[in-house]
Amino acid sequence: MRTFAAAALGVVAVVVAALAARDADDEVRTAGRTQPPSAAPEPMRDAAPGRATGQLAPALPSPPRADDAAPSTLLELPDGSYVDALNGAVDAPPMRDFWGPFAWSPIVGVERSDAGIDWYRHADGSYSTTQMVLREDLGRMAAMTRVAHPGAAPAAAAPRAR
Amino acid sequence: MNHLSSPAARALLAALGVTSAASAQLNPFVFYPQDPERQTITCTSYVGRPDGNAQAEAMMEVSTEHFRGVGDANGPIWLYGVYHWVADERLSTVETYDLVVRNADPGGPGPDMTPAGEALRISGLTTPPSSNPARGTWITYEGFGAQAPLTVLPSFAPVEGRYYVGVDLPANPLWPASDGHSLFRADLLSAGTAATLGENERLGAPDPTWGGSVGSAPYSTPWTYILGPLVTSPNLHIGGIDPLSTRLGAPGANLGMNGLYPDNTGAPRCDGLMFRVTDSIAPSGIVFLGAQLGFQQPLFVWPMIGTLIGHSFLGDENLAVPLGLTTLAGGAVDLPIAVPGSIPAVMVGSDVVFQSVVWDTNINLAAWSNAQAAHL
Repeated sequence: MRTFAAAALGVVAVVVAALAARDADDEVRTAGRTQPPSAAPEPMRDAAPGRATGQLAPALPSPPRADDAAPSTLLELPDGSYVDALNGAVDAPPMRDFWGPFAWSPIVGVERSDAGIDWYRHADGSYSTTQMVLREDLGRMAAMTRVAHPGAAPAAAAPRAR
Repeated sequence: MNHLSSPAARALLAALGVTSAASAQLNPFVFYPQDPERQTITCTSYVGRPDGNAQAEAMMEVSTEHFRGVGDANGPIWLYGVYHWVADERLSTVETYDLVVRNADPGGPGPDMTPAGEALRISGLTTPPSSNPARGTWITYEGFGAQAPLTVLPSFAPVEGRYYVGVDLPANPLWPASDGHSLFRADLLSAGTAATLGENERLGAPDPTWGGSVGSAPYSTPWTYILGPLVTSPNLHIGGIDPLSTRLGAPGANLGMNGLYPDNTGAPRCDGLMFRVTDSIAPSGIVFLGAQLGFQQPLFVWPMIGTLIGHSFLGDENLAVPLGLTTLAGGAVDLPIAVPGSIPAVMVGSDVVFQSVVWDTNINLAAWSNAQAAHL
């Protein structure tokens, strides 16, 4: 553990000094990144996919709404395009946050599970969906965005250990 | 749409001092021997459930005894979802489950299994459709989004700094013969199973996960799961290096119980240590690393409000011991701390705490990772 004795400066001091040095240079650039997205026309809702039909309309290529405060029935994909949120979800979280470190795979279909939930099927075998769930901690219904990627084969099932 | 992965949104929110920023996906805080997002998982002992095919909640414990700052958003602790690997014995039949987050039992160890102990329950989630009748795995990200995180602090104050994140599995008499949902698990040496792969903790280490049902007493379970909350803070895990062990199933360090409870008894083990920092939000960020003996009181660096998110648990510049700096590559970096046999006996019995800062130079925004103790 000789490393522990090799300290010369505190990590906090190093961080503060390094970040402070960047502040002035980055002020303009950071401010530029905080600009809201430019307004875009409303999407053609009729062009969005219906539920459980297997038919897909092209994803919308640009931010869909001028009024960012209005409830949205659209779902932002990791490539920045939009499709209809599924299962009646409103203000569904963007899929980008929950896709994980996987290469983006486009939507190729919509399937309804035996549980009556509609899912987007992706080219790589992944599935994604949105749905409203009761959030008692919030006191209201709220949307979830859910992603399921196919994984490695499971290990053997465990013996009953408890 | 307000999404967490927008650098603009995160920079703005960070400037307000309320949350963190990002440019990509959230981070699952998983406590397991290997990183399930970036490493090939070779250490799994079994897929299993807390109580065989009976109904039970499978929960990981997030305790300030071991970890601090998980999901730290400048004071509030926010969880943005749950990540877990679903092992399904028959993909073509839909599995149903709940997500749960529980407070700790104020009267003892483990989770509070009363209804009042539930901080979150999302009922009736189901697995995707499939026509495949074989067994298989779903890697699931179940997200709440920026507008509806679960607020751990200050909404529900974890009793004794502990809370539990899990999946409620319904009873399924078909498991494991022909159907049913279970989780990937790595058994502790103390589990008493025949597993040749799994955790590699020091003898006497406590169980890291729990099981239970509403209204009944919880019970600890001697394994770790691929399961955890989705957070915006970078992850830091300490890895234990035991050259005598093959339980990882591959070369490398055990990022689970071996890092938390390394064996330096010298009879015969004298484990080494490393740590791994991961961050999908700033996957090329610069990483500052530090250590300290024991957790310190949380320190907010006020001069950096809006630029540095979270708290130091290493103390200030007079206390924290810097271990250097490096850069994430593909969202991860591994750093050696001590080779096997190098930790002096005088340190056995002490708690060494590690923490890092990940600095996204593209937007000049940094975040403290969680801090983790190694109980030497």
